[in-house]
Amino acid sequence: MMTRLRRLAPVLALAALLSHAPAVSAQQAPQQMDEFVPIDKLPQQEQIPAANLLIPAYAFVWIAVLVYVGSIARRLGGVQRDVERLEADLKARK
Amino acid sequence: MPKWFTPASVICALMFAVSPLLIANAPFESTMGLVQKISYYHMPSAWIFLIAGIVCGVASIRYLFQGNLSQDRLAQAAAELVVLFGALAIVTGPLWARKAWGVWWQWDVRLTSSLMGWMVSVAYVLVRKYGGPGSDKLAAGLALFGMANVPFIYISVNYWRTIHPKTSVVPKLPLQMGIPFWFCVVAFVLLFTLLLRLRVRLEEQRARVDELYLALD
Amino acid sequence: MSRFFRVAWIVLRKDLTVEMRSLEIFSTSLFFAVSVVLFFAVAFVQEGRALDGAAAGILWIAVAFAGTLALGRTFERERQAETLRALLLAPADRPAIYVGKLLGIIALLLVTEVVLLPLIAYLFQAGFFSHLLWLAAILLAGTVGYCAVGTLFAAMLVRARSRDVLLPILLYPIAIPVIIAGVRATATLVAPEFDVALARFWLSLMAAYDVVFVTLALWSFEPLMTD
Repeated sequence: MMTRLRRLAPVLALAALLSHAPAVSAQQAPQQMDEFVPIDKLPQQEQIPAANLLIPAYAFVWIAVLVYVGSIARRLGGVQRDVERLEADLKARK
Repeated sequence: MPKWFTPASVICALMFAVSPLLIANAPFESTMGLVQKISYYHMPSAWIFLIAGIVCGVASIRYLFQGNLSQDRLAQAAAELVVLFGALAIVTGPLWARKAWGVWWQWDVRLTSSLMGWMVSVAYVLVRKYGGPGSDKLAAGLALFGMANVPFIYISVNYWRTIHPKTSVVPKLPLQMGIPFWFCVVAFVLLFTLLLRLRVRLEEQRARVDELYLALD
Repeated sequence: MSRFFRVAWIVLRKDLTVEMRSLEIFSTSLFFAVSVVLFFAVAFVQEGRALDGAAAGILWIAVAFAGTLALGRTFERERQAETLRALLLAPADRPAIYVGKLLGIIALLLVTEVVLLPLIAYLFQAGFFSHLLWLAAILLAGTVGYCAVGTLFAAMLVRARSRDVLLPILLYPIAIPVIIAGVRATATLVAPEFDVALARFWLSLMAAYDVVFVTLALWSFEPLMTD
C-alpha cells in the first residue's frame, strides 16, 4: 500500500506542481491506488519519489541563492559605476 | 569591503560545493529514508530566516528611536534576506512534507506562523521599494509591529488548530544531528553573513551616490 | 492628562462633524461592505443554505475591507486639505491626535457593523443575536485592534507614494491575529452550542492585542510621524 503510493508519487507530484493545486493530487490518490503493481519492480523504484522531491528542493535552494547573489551583484555594479562617474565629475569640477 | 570578505566567500562557496557530497554520504534516516535529507538545507534556512527577522526587527527599533542611519541600512538588508531564506524554508518544507506527512501543507502552528512572518517581510520589501520618500520610517514601523505580532500569531494559530484537531497524524520529525548537518548550518550562517554584508554595502554605496549628487549641486 | 484627552476629543469631534455633514466615508464604505457581503452570499449560499461558519468569516472580511477604505479616505481628506500638517504642527501631543483619529474610525466602523450584522444574519441564517453582550464585546475588541494598527499605518502613509496600495499590504499581515480571533469568537456565537470558555479565550486574546498595539502605537507615533 505504502510502496504503491510511493511509486505513484512522482506522477502526483508532477500533476500537483503543474496544476498548483495540492487538493487535486489528494483526490486522485485513492483512485489510482487500485492499480496493479508488479512486486519485482518495487526495490529499484523505491527511491525515485523521494529523489523527485529532494532534487527540486536542493535545486531551488541553489538557484534562489545564485539568483539573489546575481541581483545584488547587478545592483551593486550599477551603483558602483554611478559612484565612479560622480567622483570623476566632482574632481573635474574642482 | 572588509578584508575577510573575499576569503570568506571562497570558503562559503567551497562549503556549498562540498555539502551535497557530505549529505549524500550521510546515513539514511530509518523511517523517512532519502527525503529526510532535505532537512540538511531546510533547517538551516529556517533558522537563518528567524535570525534575519530578529536582526531586522532590532535594527528597525534602534533606527526608529535613535535615528541611526546605519541601523536602517542593516534592517533593509536583513529584510531582503528574511524574504530569501524564508522562501527557501517555505519551499523546501512542503517538498519534505509531501513525503513525510502525505500532504504539501499543514495549517500547523509553525508553518502558519512562518508563512505570516514571511508575509510581513515581503510587505517590508514592497514598502521600501514602492513607498517613496518616508518609506524608511514606514518600514521600521512595520518591522516593530511585525515583531510584536509574532506571539499573537503563534497563540492564535496554535489555539485555533488545537480546537480543530488535525485529521492526519503528524509524526514528530526526527533529527539527524550529524557532521553534515552542522556543516550545512555553518555554511548557511556564513552565507547569511556574507549576503548581509554585501547588501549593506549596496545601501552604503547608494547613500554615497546621494551624497555625491548633493556635493555636485 | 486632561489636556491629552481634550485634544483627542477635539480631533474626534472635528472628524465626526465633518463626517456628519457629508456622510461621505460612512456611505461609501458601507456600500462597499454591503456589496462584499452580497458577493459572498452569491458564492456561498446555495438553495437557501449557507456554508457552516461562513457568516462569521464574511462579517470580518467585510469589516476589514470597509475599514481599509475608510482609513484611507479619512487621511486622504486631511491630505487634500493640507490639514494634517496643520494638525501635526498644532501645539498638542501627537499621541492625542492619534487617539482622536482612532476613536473616529472606531465609531465609524462600529456603526457600519451594526448595519451589516442584520444583513448577514438574514442572508446566511446566522444567529448572531443570542448573546448580545458577548457580540458587542467581540465586535468592540476586534474593531479596536484592527483600527489601532490601521490608523497608525494610514497616518504614516499620508506622505507616501502609492498609499492606497500600501495600506492593505502593511495592515493585513499585522492584523491577521485579530481577524483570526474575531472570526473564531464570532463563530462561537453562531455555533449550535455556545462555548463560553472558547469565546472568553478569543476575547481575551483580542483584548491583549488591543492593549499591546494601542500602547505600541502611542509609543511610536511620535518618532514615526517626524520627518
